[in-house]
Amino acid sequence: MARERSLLELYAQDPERADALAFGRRGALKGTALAAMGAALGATIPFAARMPQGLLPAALAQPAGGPATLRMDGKAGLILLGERPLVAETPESMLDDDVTPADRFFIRNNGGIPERFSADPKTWRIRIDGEVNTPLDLTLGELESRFELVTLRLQMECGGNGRNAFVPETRGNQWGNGAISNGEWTGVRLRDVIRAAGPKDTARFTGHFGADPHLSGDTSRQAISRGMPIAKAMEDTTLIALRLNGEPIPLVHGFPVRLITPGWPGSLSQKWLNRITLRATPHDGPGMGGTSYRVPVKPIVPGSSTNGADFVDITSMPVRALLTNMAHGTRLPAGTRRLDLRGHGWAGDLTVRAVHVSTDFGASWAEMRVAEPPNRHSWQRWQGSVELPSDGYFEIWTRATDSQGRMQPHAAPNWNPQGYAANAMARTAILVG
Amino acid sequence: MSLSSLEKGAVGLACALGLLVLAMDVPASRRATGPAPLTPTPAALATAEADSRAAARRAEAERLDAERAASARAEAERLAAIQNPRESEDILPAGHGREEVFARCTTCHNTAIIRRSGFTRARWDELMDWMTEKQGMAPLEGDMRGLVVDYLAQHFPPRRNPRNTNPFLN
Repeated sequence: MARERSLLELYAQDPERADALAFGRRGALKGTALAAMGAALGATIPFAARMPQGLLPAALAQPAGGPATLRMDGKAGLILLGERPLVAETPESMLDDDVTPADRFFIRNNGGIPERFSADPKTWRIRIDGEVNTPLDLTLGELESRFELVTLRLQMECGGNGRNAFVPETRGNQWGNGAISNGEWTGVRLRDVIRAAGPKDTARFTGHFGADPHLSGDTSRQAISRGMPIAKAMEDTTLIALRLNGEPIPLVHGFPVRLITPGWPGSLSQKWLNRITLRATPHDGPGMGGTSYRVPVKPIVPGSSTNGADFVDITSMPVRALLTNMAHGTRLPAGTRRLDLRGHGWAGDLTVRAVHVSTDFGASWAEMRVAEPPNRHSWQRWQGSVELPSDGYFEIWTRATDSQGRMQPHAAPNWNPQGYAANAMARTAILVG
Repeated sequence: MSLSSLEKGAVGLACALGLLVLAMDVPASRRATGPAPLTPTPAALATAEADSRAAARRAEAERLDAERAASARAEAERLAAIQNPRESEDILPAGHGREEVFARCTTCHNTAIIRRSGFTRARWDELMDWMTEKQGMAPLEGDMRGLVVDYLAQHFPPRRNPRNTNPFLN
């Protein structure tokens, strides 16, 4: 451990020297440099010859001191990314269930958490207004009795999931790959409610409002208020959700009611929902416009300055897969040669066609089996096995391919200042022996 | 509010009796001097009982409301403790400007997001405008802005993959 920390410290203090030490001036990881790296890891690296230049082993890519752990009633020990606003990531190895338990949902807030609505939840009100013929002001009781209830397994993923793969680092919470969930949500279709309000021809976009207070305490400001094109709002998997996994939605996840807009950035799944307005033009609340939840059409130089004027809003999230039955940093007994692996894959509005796994830094790939999703916008289970040639340090690289043939890249693509849609393939470091 | 259910029952019964007297058009003056009190009819008794049950239900609902409100407040306090960790400025690296950075930034958010960030001076500088424009931060100008941005740039520079120095960036 002492050796590992010293290499990390060296990187923090003198990156050039640390890089020279680890990789050598000619780029290949070998000789004394490889020995130094192996010593830092406490293991040999059997596939070192195939390790790309400048690539720090995944085992060393953790911040010194280790991440803090969330301690909160009703929540598992998630990785605490920030307290105010409260933000916590689910470790990938806690995402093994087909249906994500409520205590393992990642937490993302832009503002504070409102006090629980303590009256009968059925009396909470939601307004539907704007470009409609009949504005609605409905209690949850009326919502539930008037519209069909559906239960679906739906992905919800932060638009910034995978952000910590961007180089150079971008603004925002430095998510690994764990800002993803796949809960079983019960609610009414937003489509049915919009139809009941009689949308005008000019109703082309939505705007969403919730009860969470702005961090500054200014009650005239919204913490976040985003919106989407009407076509996404009218999809039969976009829900006004009342229950998660058969239970009332936990307070921190939006009790008593929230939107679920699966496959698109999680910020469109407004928590503590109290109003949806229909608009002729894109919504202009906090979290819209500029560089917020927007990415370049014409790629920009990583780290450069931009006001995002010619960016576009993120719609469907990109393809991604996770390994969920083997934690990053797992030590396995000497002589272990076969690994049975499994996880989930998803691709926003699309599906996952294939998942491949490599244990030799991408030189060779083994195809896994991928199950069909139980319903549209649910993630999909993958599983399979790989063989290792020896003891030592390995990284399990996991790469999904979507239904249109697009694969996860090695590096986070299309750098943008707020770090969205980074779907670099996941890397899990293990040590055999 | 503080009546026992027995007392409420009695009140309900008295009201029902009063109604009965009125319905029978008996002058009030005759009640005091009249013979024995009238026996309530079964219908009046049923009404009184229903009233009493409704009052009990209301009292129970009020008690539950108060209980839920108290539990919501307690929950909000627990969450406030999580969302407002006790931080002092020495959580940030020592240096010129630390006090000002701590004071200004923690008006809205705690230091976690600062400590996990790493930008060039130009990007830190831009972030000040972004926070003003998008997040409602009071504009930061002049010497104070220089002090804050210099501190952040010095102590929280880009750290990721230092080999990757981009030839297109100054």
